[in-house]
Amino acid sequence: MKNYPLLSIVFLLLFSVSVLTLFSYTDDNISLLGIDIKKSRFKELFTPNNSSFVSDSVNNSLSASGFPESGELNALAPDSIIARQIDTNSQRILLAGDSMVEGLMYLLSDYCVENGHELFPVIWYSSSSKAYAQKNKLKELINKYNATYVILVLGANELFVRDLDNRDEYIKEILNQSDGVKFVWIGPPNWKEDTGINDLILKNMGKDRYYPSKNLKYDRISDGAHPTRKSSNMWAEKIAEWIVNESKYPILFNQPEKEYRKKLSPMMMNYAK
Amino acid sequence: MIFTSGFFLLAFTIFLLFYSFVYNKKSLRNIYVITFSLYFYYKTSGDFVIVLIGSIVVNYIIGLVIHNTDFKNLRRFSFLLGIFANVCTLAYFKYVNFIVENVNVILGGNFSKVDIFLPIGISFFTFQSISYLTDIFRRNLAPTENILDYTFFVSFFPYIVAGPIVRASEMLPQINNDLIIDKNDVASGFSMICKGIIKKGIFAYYISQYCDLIYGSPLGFSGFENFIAMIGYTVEIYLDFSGYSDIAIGLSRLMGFKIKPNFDSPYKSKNLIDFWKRWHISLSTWLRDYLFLPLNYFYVRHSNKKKYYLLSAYIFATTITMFIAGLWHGSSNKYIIWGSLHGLGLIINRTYLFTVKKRIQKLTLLKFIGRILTIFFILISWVIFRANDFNDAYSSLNLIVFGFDINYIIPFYNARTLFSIFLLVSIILIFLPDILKIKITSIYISLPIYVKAVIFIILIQVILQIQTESIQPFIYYQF
Repeated sequence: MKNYPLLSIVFLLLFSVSVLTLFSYTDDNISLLGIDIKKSRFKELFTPNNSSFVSDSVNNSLSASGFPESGELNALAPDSIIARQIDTNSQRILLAGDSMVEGLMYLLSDYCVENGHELFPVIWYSSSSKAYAQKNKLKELINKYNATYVILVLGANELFVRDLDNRDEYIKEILNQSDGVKFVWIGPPNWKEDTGINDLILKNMGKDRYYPSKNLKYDRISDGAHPTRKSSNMWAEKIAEWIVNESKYPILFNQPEKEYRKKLSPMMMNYAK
Repeated sequence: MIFTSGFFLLAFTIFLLFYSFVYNKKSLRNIYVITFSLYFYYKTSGDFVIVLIGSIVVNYIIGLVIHNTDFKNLRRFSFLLGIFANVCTLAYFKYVNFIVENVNVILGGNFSKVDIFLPIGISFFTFQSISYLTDIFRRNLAPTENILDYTFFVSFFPYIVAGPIVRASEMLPQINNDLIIDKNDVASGFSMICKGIIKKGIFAYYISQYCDLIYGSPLGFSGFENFIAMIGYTVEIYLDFSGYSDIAIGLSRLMGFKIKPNFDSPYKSKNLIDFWKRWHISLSTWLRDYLFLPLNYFYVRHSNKKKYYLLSAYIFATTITMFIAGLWHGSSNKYIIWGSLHGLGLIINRTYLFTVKKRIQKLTLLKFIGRILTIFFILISWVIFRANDFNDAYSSLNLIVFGFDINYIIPFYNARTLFSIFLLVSIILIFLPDILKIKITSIYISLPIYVKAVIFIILIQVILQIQTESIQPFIYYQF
């Protein structure tokens, strides 16, 4: 050892890597003082074909799905829309999400009145996929309102997150919570390029259940993030068009002929508190 | 591949295992390190490893020509060609779109941007190459005996990606000689690595998430939150960069190579001149030796030696140097503004030292005011550096000045308790007396190896916990 002074550090590193690797292979989740002990990703490094990190896997799935690049989506030719089986039943629509719901709910309410649906807006300020996943919120709301159709507007608070692995899990959990109910996810109206949340939602939902709001242009209120009422209405119109023409679950969603001004009583919560 | 990634930890462990058997066999060691360094660079920059190799070959040949030729004009021409080639390479990869953008704005042109990827670390290895050629031209350095030594010097993986900018005169003698690694090198090298991991992987990472959030849309947050982001980023950039440098220096030390410190408690500076002697020392000394001093001598040589000509020379050299220092940091106008602002600050600082009597300068009150002004200046300049553009920086500073409300402190703490604790602890660590830091380091060094192993595992686990614990987003609704 005296001739090889570095060996002590090599053993230290080998020991550390071994401990972390072995722990990454365990199936059980361990908690300490109420905190979940996270596992390293050494398991992925040692598992062939599973070593790509989130961004790579997202990119691969994107190219594999042939999803159009930003901007291309709106340029899809109208005649590409084949005759679609529109569900003409009256729906109980749960419009849930973060503060962005507030902008969308007025015009979407008019759409619902026009087409005989019932709208239940839920604004959970400052919420994220983490909040909805961990609090089992979507399932709770679906049950509460007996919803038959879910429009989830979520992701604006996650544009700059870096823990994409976790977000992936949260999105999957939310998807599980929908439990067979028709469910579409409206992506966030980006005001800056995100770190990958839109790609993750797309990866999990597929292009017929995810609306890429980031491709639209918005006028924003003074915070620079939330669209103005006028812009929110434009956004809502585009969402409605997409639901009817491109989404997996098209419903009767004709443009309202007038402003119904139905009094809305959204359920409001604040995740920050 | 970054230092705080699991892949690097694994790759470095395997590398070190074999290195421990070859480090005292010079040729084998150099080939082994070069191979790993090029692999490391390939993993970070992909095919751009070819640019690195190309740069090494060209600079090595030019270095030989400068040194060996007896023709004065050829010597000068080769040197200028080398500098030109390095500057052009850097300009092409880093600044071509910035130039296109500005030409379009200023001249109303409609040139399209080039689809280009910036090879990682190009600013660092280009500056190292320029210093290598300049030192040979000045006859301060003999070129390396063979291209392998030069490749080792340029591509050495601890500093290839993000510095420090190491001089050939500092590194080449170590590459050429047999290395002696003792227990002290190993212990202090490893403690430096751990220190860097704590700074960069834990504190800087966690704080950065808050800063990213605020600077993503500063107008969406209160003046108080912008103020905390200003402090947060000041802390983050120091911990991130000095942490990276600590890891780089620690890795080198572990391998038997000694590299000078890159930071020296910069936020404890007594004035802005002092700050630049303590901040990113390898860059500031590079700029001093290869830009500032030549410009200064040039001015002095061509001036009429009237009153204050030395101060005028300083102003001339500082203005150009800090403009380039700003540009070196990135291809954006905000970096130029940041660099120029520091240049202006340095000029004001130098003028004060030049004109005010030493006796008055020594007054405790003035020294105290100097420290306060320095930290305020640094805080404000980091906002310009960090914000997405100058408009965002202006909005953020405007909110801090006109929208600041101290009553936000309690709800802010309640909403972001963990972040507040991280920030506070970071500030305490930054301002900890040096003697205490040395004491903590020596206690760590003296610990038995198995205790160090446990501490290291805990460190990695904390990084895992922290890096998945994201900062709570939009909370302005709360206030």
